[in-house]
Amino acid sequence: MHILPRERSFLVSLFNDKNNIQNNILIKNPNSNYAIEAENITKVFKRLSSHTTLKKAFIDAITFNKNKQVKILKFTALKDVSFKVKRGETFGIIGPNGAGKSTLLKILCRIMKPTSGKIAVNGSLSALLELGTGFHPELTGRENILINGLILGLSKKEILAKYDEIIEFSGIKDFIDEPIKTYSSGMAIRLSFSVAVNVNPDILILDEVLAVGDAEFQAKSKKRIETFINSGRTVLLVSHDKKSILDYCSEAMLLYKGSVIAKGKPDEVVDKYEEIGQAKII
Amino acid sequence: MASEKNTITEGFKILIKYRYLIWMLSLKELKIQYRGSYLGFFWSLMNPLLLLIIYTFLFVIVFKNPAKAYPVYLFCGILPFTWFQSSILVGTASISGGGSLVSKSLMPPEIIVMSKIGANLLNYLLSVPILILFVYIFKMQVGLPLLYFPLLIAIEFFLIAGISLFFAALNVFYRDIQFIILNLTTFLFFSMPVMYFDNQLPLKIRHLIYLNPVAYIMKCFQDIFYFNMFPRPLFVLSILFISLIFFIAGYAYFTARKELFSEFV
Repeated sequence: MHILPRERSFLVSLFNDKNNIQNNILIKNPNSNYAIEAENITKVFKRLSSHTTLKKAFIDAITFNKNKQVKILKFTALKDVSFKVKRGETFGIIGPNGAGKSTLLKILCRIMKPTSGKIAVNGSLSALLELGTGFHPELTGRENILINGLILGLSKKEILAKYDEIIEFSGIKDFIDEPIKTYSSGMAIRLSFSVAVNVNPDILILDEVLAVGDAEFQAKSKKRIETFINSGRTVLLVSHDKKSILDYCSEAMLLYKGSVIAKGKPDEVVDKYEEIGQAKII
Repeated sequence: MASEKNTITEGFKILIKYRYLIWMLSLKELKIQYRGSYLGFFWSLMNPLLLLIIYTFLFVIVFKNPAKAYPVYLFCGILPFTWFQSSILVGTASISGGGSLVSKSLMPPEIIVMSKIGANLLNYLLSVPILILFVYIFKMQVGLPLLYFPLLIAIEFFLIAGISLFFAALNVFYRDIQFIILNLTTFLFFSMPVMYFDNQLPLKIRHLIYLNPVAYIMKCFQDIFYFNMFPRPLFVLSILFISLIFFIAGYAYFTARKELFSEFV
């Protein structure tokens, strides 16, 4: 049996999380020129070694032996990451799988706490970290639009006003009252994307959700995202694909093994990204 | 202390802001439960009805229980207790089993727990008409004490929410909790005068029983539906106070651990 928490003592762990995690100070400054400011963000994941058993934890708890049987493994996902995103800018974060991109996004969204560092988010924030969160196969397309939209932070009014538009955009009008378990995976993802493009925040975070559907649908969604970007909103775009970074971004950053390798113009950053890729192949 | 107060008002704000989502997710649970069945929501009426018929046969005809309308008495307590038990069981496991709804969504995770409680509340409310039907079949009355019913629902809701939020947060780190809860609630059920009457208990422990807030809530439901009398207002108010304390404490603990969930789910 595995023991999940990092703390050994049950009672200590009940109310104590301040030892492990420094409280990040969140400053909201509506007058700032920056939409997002991140300073020295570090994230260390701790987990117990996989052979942890209750017996070992118990022995550790009652003996004062320094050589503990339960070992805590550390993994540094982000190392001193600092960056600023100007208002109205489309900022790209590129990096190979496992570079820490998604972890960084979760920290910015306050789903996760950084081990140390400060973040400031000035404005309302919405994030598409995954398409179709809360979709249930037994419910119809129409029911899923409502629930998924509410989960994304849209209000009931907004969704009801945009129902027809969403259905039209998805292009699956004929099947909208069928349970989505009868949909093809392409149809389901188109529906979820159609709901997602209706979010309306000051700052939008996108995690590799741009390229969905067939060529026709992609062209349609590309247009949609361009209007969103051109309306003066801040977009944070995360991808391992250089094309979407070059297409949309005015500023970019390369993340590799948890550290910032390069920051600046998208083409320079993408060049650097390709250098790393080639170095690995050789 | 100031920050403590802050988290509570913030919590209430979240619940008010997302009230429609909580309602929709509760409804979704029921819809999914009955999707594809011919009777649909009607099963929420059928289940208690069939159970009541079985209990009537068993306790009136087979065991010849001398208490007047014993099945009605039994059901006054069993129905709200089922709401209590299944909400806590499902609610406790809801965050640890929440998947991407917890780890990849900006939605506050307490919404998930609340919607499970809401779904079970809907199930309970649907079974109340059956209970009232049986009250009249056994030639008894329900009347004005029914005015207390919404208040009792609110009291039990806060109690369930406080307990569920606390255990749901704890279960993310210690998955053993969900198995403990099952045994704990079963024990709780038999410790309360739901299957038996409180005057069947020895005098010494009779008052001890009502130190348990759940037992007192069950007693209030029995007052309304079985004895057709008003619960004592002073006791109802104090139990409301206790429920609110449970709620605030449970919610405060949940909020304090919220940002760690995504690492463990």
